[in-house]
Amino acid sequence: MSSMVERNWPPLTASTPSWPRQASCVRMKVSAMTHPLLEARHLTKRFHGITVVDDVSFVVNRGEVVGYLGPNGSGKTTTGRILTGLVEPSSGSVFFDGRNVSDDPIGYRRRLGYVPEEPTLYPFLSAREQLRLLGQLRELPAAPTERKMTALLELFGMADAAEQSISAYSKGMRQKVLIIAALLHDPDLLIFDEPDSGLDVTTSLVLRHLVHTLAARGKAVLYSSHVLEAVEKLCTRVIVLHRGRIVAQDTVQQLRTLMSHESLEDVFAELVLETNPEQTARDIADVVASRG
Amino acid sequence: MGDRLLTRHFLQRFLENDLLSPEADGHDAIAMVWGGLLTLGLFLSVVMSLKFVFMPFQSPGRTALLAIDDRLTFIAIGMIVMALVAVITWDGLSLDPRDTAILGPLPIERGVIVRAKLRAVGLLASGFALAISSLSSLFHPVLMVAKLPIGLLPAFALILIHLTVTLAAALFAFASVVAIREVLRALLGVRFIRISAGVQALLIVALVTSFLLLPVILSRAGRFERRDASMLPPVWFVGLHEALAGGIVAGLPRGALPVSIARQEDRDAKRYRDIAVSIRPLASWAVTALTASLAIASLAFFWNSRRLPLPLAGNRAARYRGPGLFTRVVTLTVARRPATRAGFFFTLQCMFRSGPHRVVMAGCIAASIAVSTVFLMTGSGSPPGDVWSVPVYVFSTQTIALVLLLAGFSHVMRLPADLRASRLFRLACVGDPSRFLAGVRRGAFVGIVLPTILLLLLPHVYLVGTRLALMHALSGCLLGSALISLRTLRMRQLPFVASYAPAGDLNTVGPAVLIGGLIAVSIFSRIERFAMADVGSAAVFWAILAAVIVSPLAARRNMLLDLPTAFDVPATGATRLDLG
Repeated sequence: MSSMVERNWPPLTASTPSWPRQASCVRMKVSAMTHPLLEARHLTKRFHGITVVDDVSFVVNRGEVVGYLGPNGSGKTTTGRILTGLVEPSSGSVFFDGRNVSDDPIGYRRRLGYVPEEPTLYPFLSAREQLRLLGQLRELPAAPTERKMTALLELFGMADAAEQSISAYSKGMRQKVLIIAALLHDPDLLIFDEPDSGLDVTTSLVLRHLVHTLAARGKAVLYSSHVLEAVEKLCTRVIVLHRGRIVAQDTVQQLRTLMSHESLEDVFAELVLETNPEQTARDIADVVASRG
Repeated sequence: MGDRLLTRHFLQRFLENDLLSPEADGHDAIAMVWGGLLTLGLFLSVVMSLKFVFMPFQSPGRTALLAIDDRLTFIAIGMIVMALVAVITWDGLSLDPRDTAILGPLPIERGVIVRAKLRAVGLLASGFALAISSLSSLFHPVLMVAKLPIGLLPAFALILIHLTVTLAAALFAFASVVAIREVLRALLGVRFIRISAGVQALLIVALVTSFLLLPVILSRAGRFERRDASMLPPVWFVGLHEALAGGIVAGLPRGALPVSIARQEDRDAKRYRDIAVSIRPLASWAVTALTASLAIASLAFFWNSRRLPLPLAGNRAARYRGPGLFTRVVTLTVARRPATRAGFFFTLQCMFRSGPHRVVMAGCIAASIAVSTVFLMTGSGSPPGDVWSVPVYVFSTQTIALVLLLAGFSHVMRLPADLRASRLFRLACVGDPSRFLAGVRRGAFVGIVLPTILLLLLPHVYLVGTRLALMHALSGCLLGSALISLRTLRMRQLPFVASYAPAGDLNTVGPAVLIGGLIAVSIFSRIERFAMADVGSAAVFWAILAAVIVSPLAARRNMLLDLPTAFDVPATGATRLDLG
């Protein structure tokens, strides 16, 4: 049971004279040569005897966007929750900047941004109130956070709806609030769990460019998505998960070469698909057309 | 066939009421409410009929006179309960964007959907009205005339008239709430969504207050000869009953009575005739009111349903103009640290905006208003010279109001605002949770204690004079603060975000807590009155209260919350399944 008192990393609070980025940049230079920013070591998670994540190990370095792929129920979201500390692994550990996150979960969370799969926000708050609440809980300085929040809401096209109750938001609007919430404290590590779900085309494109830009500025990004085209374009490396186990882990180019396929979609199909999609589609169409 | 299916679908939707039981089985809640209403009807019938059953010489005039008060009680309770049912199902009273999303793409005409919805609302109202009226209609008239020489047909007529009138009154109350809602919707359009929750909360407060103040209201309404009595809707329906039943009971043969009883019977019969004459004309008011409320509710409903409602995502809210005065004052004074600020504002937002939290608080506010009204109404109108001439219950008013409201707050703290959204909260909670908790305490003080004391200050100034009222207000502030401090002392879970931990069995603990609480309030009020005698004693009294506030806070400093337990209630023997 860990205390909430700050132990290892310097507190990035309202009382800290400088903005968090400066502190993290200094650390980055020192430790970038030696540690990956995020390392999952032999993560296993069992729910009531069923293994959902099975001995998963990988690293995410600074400046890298790692794609995390897998069919529904393959354990992607559970891995994401383990990495964020929301779920305890049955075995295995998560290391951040060379240190076990369980040694200082609070310090880790200060530098983590997470966009969950489900757009769950307090329905009775407005976007601004929700973001303000999260900013206050993160002990961010009020005035700069307010300015940042306003700017981000504007840039994500949410300025007009920012004072409206979240209960009236569409899925895409909720998703935008989650993305802003994950970026508000300028984290070093970003975990996106299907962030483009519900987003319109423009925002999806903005998001892709944003992820690319953030990585170029030294952030480490773990990007889970079902949109293979986006993953192919964005990610420097790809991890493919199937039934809780990693079945492939390499660069997109390398995977394509190794498996002699032209696209990531074909690689993915060969690795995890157990049915022929074309045949399944034909079967579905037949059932739809059937009478009686 | 399709109509029936749709009607059943809409009836099913009433069960998905987050206000009653978030993420719980709605069938349980409905079964409990139905059972409760049936029991209430039966209980009231039996209790109110006892006087007829045990009357040694039952006479028609006296029976008719006493029955008027009983009917007033049945009708008033039925009306309040039915209005509350309508308010609780508020969002389900008309079609909503979710209905459009589900039914819009289907090849069903809009008119069919609208009619099915109206039918479902009608069935809901009729079902609840029957639950509250049926048993009282059966038992009360029968027990009332059981010892009188009445034929089968007149007895049956009494049952039928009682049922008709109580049903009509109940439907009037239900339709009035629907009419208020639908007319507001028609007038405000999409802006209705902004005030909807506020109006709903206001109606809950008004109705629960009326329910709790029913004995006071009925005692005034029962003076039928007074002109203001005829302004109360329940009296109109008593008038309707009189108009329909005529003198069925009063006209029965009186039989042989002792002289003194016969004399009393003459007086009662005359009084009954006077009342009957004065309230019978009100029958037309009742019929007009029922017709009007049904017509307005239906017309406004159809007017609002001329298009299926669309999601409100596209609507624009007012532009942000920076933090308001209240926010700035709070930020500079009571909640300067970010985590404290989070606790402060989140507390206020949960209490007054989240549906389940708001219902609990509205109920407690109503109870406080009812108790305060009763206590203050019995107070003297002129400022007394010294503290000893002030009745203890005047001192108790503020204390009992605070205790009721903080009991409600204590419950809402344990209700999660949204468990899934708590995940993000948990990830962002990187500060000391004790600071968040400090914000919650201050939020409760500013949101509950301060408004209560300020609202009661004026009547207290009128009752006990300015100096004593101010001293009493200061005591109230300290008491409120101390109660909040004590309540949060042993708290291991963060309020509003941890999973829900049910309290002990209310059936066994509740009465003991209620009696103990009343005794404690009475003792505290006596001590306070004693302390207010001079400034020195008052200072000692306040110092003790201040110590009660400070000592738990000091003790808390060494009890930092741990993250895992701050969000998850540890499994108890009853909840742990030990699976896997």
